[in-house]
Amino acid sequence: MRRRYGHGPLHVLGHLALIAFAAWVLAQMFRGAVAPQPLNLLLWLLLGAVVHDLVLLPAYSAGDRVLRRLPADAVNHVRFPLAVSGVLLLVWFPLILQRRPSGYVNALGHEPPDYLGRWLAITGGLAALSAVVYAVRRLRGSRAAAARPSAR
Amino acid sequence: MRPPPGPARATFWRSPLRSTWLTTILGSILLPGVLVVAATGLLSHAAYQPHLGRNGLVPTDVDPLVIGWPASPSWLYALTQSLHVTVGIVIVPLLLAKLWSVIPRLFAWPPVKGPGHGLERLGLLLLVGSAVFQFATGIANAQLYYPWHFDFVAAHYYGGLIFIAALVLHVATKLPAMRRAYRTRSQVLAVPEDLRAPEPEEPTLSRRELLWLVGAGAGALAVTTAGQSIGGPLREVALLAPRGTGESFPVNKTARVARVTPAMVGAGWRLLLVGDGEAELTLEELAGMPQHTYALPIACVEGWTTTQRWTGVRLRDLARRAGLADAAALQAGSLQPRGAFRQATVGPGQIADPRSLLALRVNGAPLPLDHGYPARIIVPALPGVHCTKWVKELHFT
Repeated sequence: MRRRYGHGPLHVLGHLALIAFAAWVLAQMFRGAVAPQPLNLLLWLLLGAVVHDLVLLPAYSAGDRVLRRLPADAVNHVRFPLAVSGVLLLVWFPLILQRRPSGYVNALGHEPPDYLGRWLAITGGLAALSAVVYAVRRLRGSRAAAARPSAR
Repeated sequence: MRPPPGPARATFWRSPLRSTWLTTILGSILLPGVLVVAATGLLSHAAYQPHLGRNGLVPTDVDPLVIGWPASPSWLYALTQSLHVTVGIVIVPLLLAKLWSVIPRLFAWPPVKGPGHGLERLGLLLLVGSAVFQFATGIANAQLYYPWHFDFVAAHYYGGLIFIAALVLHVATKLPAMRRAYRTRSQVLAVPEDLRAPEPEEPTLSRRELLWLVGAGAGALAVTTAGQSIGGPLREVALLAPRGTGESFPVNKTARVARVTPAMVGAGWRLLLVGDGEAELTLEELAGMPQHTYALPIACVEGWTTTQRWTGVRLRDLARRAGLADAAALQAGSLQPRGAFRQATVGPGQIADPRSLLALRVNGAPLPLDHGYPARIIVPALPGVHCTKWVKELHFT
């Protein structure tokens, strides 16, 4: 069996058990009381992985490719603040982009803070911090180079 | 058979960072995080005590998670739910990096090499599909954002069951590869393997720097989020959390949204007390009963917590008053005309705890209308939405 299947018997048993269990859970999940629109739930279950694998990941990879055209010593000073700011946006975009249900403000009891402004400020702060570190590194680098002119 | 041009070819992937070793490191850091999130998720389900009254929100044939949720320690639910939400958010960069590290395998050629490979890929579809579903729906729920047409609580519970089962199998399947990677971490770098790019680009980031980048993302999420659960000065830097800065005593749902009007809680308000008989109590009569004050945390399923000083009548005194000193359950009903949480049931241990109150006051003043005036349930370690506000009836059974 191992030769034809490629794995031991536990592998096949484990996977068959998982598939049976998942089928049972999905049958529970797709009952009318949970999913009055079954297609919508199906879409959400499948689309998440598809959107991540075929949209989000290629998009940030493409962005990173553009970034790599920068001078080698500057790449990571742009990459770090961008990536951190990007992941904050990914997690909090409903608040930052005000994707709120109409009852949200009433549920909260007051106007929510300006999340977009806060996110922009954090992004600006990260960029500034990274720029300062970059400037210090370059300054140190050129001083070190000046101290040993013969090294060239 | 030669794969078609594009991502199915190994030469398409150029990052010098991908390797089984990197995936092993990322997986080893991610695993404890998802285990915490999974375990606290199951505990949250149990904390709602779905077997009591009409508490059950998940239509199911079998519920293996029925336990009498304790009332002690009082911070238990605050801790488990804060961990669930905060850790779930903080490990997002790790999950992204882990998925990035194995992306070439999605396009591996041929797509199915044999029955074993086919089953494994089906298992991975369940794992990645449920993981993205759980993270996306959970994080959106924490922001009161519901861009879907299904029941969040039930779908998030069932999605979690699939995720946990698929994760257990995944870890069991990958353990040998992880062990091998740890044992041979220096030699493994020289061995060709499916994740390593055959024609790598010049590195612009070392593996160590990539881990720093992931850590920076996780750290930024932690700093801007965790304060809504931890409180104190940290709350003021929780800049992106839904209940962060300035929200030391948040309201989950205002009276306006719950459709509770000042007229409903005016002089005509009576508490219907049902047990061995029926009685109606005025607010003055309740205030005339022995009052007790406790500082207790109230924790929301969305992850935020707040500790306040609550004053009111002990639930066990009310049980005695209702003629059922050893009541097994208490169902509290709200004036709120609609909504899943206009009623909730607590069990015998919770009724008996001396800190379980029908609270009339908070921090020395009468309850504000948005916090449940004239009376609300406060039970230690009970999920916030079960601490029924605007109580109009108590049924002891």
